Amino acid sequence: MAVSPSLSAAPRTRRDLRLDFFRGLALWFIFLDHMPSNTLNEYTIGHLGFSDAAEIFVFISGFAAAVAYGSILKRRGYVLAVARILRRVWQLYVAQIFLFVAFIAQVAYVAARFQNPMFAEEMGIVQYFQEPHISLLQALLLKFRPANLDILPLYIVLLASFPVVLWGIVRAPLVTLGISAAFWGVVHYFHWNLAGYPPGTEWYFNPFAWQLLFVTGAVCGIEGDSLKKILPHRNILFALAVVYLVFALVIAKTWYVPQIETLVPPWVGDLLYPIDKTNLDLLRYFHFLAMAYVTVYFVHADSKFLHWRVFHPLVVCGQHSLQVFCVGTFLSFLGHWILVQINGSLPMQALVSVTGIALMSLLGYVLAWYKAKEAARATVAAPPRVGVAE
Amino acid sequence: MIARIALGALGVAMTVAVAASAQAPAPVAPPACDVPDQFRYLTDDLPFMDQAVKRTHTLKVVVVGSASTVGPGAENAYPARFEKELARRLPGVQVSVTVKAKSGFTAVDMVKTIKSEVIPAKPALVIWQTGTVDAVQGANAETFADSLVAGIEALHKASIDVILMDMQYSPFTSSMVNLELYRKLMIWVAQRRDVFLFHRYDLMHYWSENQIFDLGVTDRAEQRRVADTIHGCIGQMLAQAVLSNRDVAREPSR
Repeated sequence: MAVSPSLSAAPRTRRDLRLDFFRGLALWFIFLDHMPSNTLNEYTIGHLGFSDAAEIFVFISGFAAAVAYGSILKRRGYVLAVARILRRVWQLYVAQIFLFVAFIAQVAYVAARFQNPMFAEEMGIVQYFQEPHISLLQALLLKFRPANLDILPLYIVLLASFPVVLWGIVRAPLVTLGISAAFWGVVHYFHWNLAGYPPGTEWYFNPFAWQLLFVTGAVCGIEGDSLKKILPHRNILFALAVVYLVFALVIAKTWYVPQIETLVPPWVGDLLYPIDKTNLDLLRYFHFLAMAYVTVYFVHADSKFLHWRVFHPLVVCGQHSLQVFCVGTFLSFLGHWILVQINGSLPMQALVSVTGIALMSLLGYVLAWYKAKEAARATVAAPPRVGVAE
Repeated sequence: MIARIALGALGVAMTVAVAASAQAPAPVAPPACDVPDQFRYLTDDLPFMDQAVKRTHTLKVVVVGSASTVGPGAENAYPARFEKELARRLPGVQVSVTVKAKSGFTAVDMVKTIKSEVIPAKPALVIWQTGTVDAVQGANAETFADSLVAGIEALHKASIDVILMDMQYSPFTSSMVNLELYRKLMIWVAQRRDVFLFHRYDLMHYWSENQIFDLGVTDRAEQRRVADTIHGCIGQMLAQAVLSNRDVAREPSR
C-alpha cells in the first residue's frame, strides 16, 4: 500500500484516495477544534450535527488498519501482521508521551508565569504535578490524559486489540460486527469503562464503546461488498440519511442559537438528551454513518476532484496521519498561545489557522518525499515488498 | 508584525509574545460594564421570587458555588455587588444575599449543600454557579448532568427559583481544561428544565477577546483590580438579568 507522494506516478496498489482525503480533513478539523481561542472552529464538522472529527478519525483508522494489515495477513501471514500492528501501537504510545510532555511544559509555564488567584480553581491541573511520581506514572499507564490528550490512548487500545478483530473480520466480517455491536450494548448496560486518573474518573473516549465504530470501519475496509448486499435500496437509504442529517443540524443549531430553541418540542429534547460522547451514543454513531453514506454517494473512489492540486495537501496529511496528528496537536497549543499573547483578532486567527495547516501539510510532503526515497532504495536493493501506509 | 507572525509559526514566538505583552500597558477598564446587547440577559419566569417580593417585600437569595463565587483574588466577589445592585433596584424591599460556596466543590457536593443547608434556609431564589471543578477533575458527564437535574428539581419542589451560572473564561486555562462538554450539558439541562443560565463564560470571553479586561496581567495588584472589576460587572449584570421585565424593579438613575 505504499504510495509514492506524486500521485501521477503509477501506484503499486490502487489506494482509495477518499480515505486520505477525509482523514486529512479530520486532522485539520481536530487542529482547529483544539484552539479554544480560534473562532474558526465554529465552522468545523462538530457544529453540523451530533458527531464530530473524532468519529471520522476512528472510522477511517479502522478502515485503513483493515486494508493495511489485512493485506499483510494475506501475503505474509497472521504472525507478521500482528507484529506490525504491535509496532504501530508502540509508535502511537511514544507519540502520546511526547504530546504529554509538550502539555506539561505548557502547564508549568502558565503556572509559573501567569499565576492568578482568580483562576486558582481552573489551574487545578497543577495540583496533580505536586506529586510527579504519581502523575507521571499515571500518564505512562495512559490513565492520566488531561485536556485534549485522550484520542491517541483510545487509538492505542483499539489497535492493540486489533489482532483479535482482524482474525474475526477475515473469516466472518458480519459476525464480527455483530459481536462488536452486542459488546457495545453490554458495555452500555453495565457501564463498563477503563479507569482514569485522578481516581474516580473514567476515559473520556470509552474504548469499549468506541470499538464499535472502529470495527465498523474495519469491516467496511475489508468486506464492503458483503455489507452492500444486506443494506436496503441505495435511494431509500440515501433519503433516510439526508433526513437524519437535517434533523441533527437543526438540533445542533439550537445548542448555539437559543432563539430557535423553541422549534424543538420538549419531548424530543428529553429523548435526545444527553448525547453521550464518552460512550459513543447511537445518535452520534448513526449521524456519522449517515454523513459517510451521503459522502460516498457523491464522492467516488475515482472522483476527479480528489486529484485536484488544491486538495493534494489534504491527501498527503491523511497519508501520514500519526505524525501530522501529533504535530497538529502541538501546533494547536502554540497557535492558541499566539492568539492569546500577541493578537487574537480575526485576521490573526485566520493566519494562525492557515499557517498551522500549511506546516502540517509541509510535514506530510517531507514524509512522503522521504518514504519515496526509501522505497526507491529498497526496490533497488531488494525484491519488492509491500509496505504499510496508514 | 509580519516578522513576529513568521517567528510564531516557527515555534519560537512564545517568548517573543510574552516579552511583547509585558511591555504593552494593560488596557484601562471602562467605568461601566460595557457589553453589547446580546449579553444583556433577560429572565422572565421567576414566579417564586416575584411572589416573595410582592407579598413579603423581602428577597432572600442564596448563592451556591465554588472558588469563583468565594472570590479569590477579588476584594468583593460578585455576590456582594449583586446584593447591592438588587437593593438599589428594589426600593422598599429587604434584600439579603448569602453565600454557600467552597473552593473545590463539585456539582455533587453542591447538591448535598442545597438539600441540607440551602432549602432549609427558605430563600426565594438560588444562584447556582457550577461546572468548573467537575471539568478540572474530568467528572463523569452523566453524574454531572444528573446532579444538575436533581438540584433544580429539589429547589423547584421547595418553591425556590434557580438560576444557573457557568464557568469563568480565561485564555490561559481554557487550553488546559476541557470545559466544552460540561458547558454543553449545562445549556442542555437549562433548556430542558426551563431554567435561566447566566452565560458568564461567554461574557468573560467577550471581555477578553475585545481586550476590555486583560486577564494576562502578572502584577498582583493589577490582577486584583481586574478581578474586582470583573466580579463587580458580573454582580451588576446578574442583578439586571434577575430584575429584567419586572414592574417591581425600578431602573436606577445613573
